[in-house]
Amino acid sequence: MLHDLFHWMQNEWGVEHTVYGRSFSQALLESLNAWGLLEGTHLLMLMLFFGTILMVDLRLLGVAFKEQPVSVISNKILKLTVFSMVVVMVTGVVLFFSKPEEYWHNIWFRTKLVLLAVAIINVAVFHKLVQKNQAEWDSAPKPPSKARISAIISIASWVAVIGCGRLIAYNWFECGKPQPAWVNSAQGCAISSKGAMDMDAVTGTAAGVDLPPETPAETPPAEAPAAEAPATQPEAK
Amino acid sequence: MFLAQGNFAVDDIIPQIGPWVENIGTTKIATLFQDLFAFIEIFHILGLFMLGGATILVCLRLIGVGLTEVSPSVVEKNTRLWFNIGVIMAIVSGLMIGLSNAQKLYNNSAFLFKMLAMFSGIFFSYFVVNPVARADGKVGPGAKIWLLVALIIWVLGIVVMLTNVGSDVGVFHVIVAGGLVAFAALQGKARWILVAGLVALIVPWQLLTHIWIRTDDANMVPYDTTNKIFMWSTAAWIGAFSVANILGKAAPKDSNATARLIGFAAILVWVTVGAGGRWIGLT
Repeated sequence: MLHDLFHWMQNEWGVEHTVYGRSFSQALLESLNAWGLLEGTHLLMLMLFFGTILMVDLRLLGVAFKEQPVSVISNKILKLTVFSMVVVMVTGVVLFFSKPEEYWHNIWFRTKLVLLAVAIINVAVFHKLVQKNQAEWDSAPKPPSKARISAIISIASWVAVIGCGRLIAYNWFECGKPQPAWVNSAQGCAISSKGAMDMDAVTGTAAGVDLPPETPAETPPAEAPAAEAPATQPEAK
Repeated sequence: MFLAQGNFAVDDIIPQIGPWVENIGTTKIATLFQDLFAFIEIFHILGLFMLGGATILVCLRLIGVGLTEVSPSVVEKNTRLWFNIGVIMAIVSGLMIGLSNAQKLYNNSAFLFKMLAMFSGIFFSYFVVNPVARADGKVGPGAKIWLLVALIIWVLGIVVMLTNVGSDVGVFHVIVAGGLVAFAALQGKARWILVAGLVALIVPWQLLTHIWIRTDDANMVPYDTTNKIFMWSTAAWIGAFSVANILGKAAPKDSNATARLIGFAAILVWVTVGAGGRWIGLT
């Protein structure tokens, strides 16, 4: 269902209203000013977001601002973190709108969403459970282990979110290219416009396919689905 | 002359090294870095984010906002290690990126303004911001000289950015960052007047350049002229409010005017570095 929505958004929504018959998504992607400003703003606000949350996490780990209470550091810095997070989220959603179908079937994007969920759950757990008795350890140079674990999860998950965000731009695992079945399944290639191509089927290692050694790996055997034609295997989601 | 040429890049300054730069891309080490490009890029971005986060806290403290319950020297002392790690990460990975992509960067105007901004940022942070923060806002003669040097280099970078049709719009990141810092530093009604002015400028600018003005590669003049008109208008509007802040009209009490100017300018310099990096990819 989401695939259909994103396919319509990327390819059809707005084609009757734009001058060159592009969808609103394509118009945004090809815009002269808006796209560059959005991407740049997303990145710069991410800098503010990550930089500030890192400092709070380092305080929780007991390696920076050890002489200051956690509350003094977090109360002031987290305002900047929340502000930048809101801008990052808004610009991120608009950037997603530029190629919703492609991003939806991108393994890095999907991994990023999972990691974002981990990071957000960690924030919720920190506020609900770890912070409950903060008054007891607020001034301690080294906060208790549960606070330090939360800080480590926070740093690790945000680093991974940033990494995945950067890797979205690379088409190593683009649907329609020959790749392992689990990758096709993880990014839902079977229902994407570009389809799913199983690496094993292409290289002839799949059961029942016995290619001669001189057959080039790039040439799909007759049994393998074509890149353009979506495979019929069910979507694993 | 350079301004008239547009897209002024390193190849305009040192054309003699052209063949050498071309050759770099074929070396083994460059090929290795090309293969690892995506991961080096992530390392580079994380380094920039780390140094950006560390320096913005010090700069905001000099302006008189952020961690106001502790002194600027304490903020600088606690962020120094992370700032240094960020700088090392950004420079080491930046050299790897440069080696793997030398030809493109050599001809790229955005790369030149990023480099100018980076040198300015490093001078700013190590010789101006950090010493001033360590002295809790007192600005010594050495810091004043380096402030001048760093400002001149930064302005040169902005000039290069403005000559590049297409990435000149990247100057808006610097201008809007100025607006955001002014927003954080201003108090009371003044900050909302600032926002109203920004909305009144940015909305018509986007409408004009996306709906009204039709451009093609053969005629970028109307688009570029509109960008520049709105760029200068927005900069003037934010500048007026920033000056009001720096001179103390609506400024926090807990800092002096020169320290505020230093904090304000240093943030904009590092924003220029970040914006420059992004526009390398877009141009």
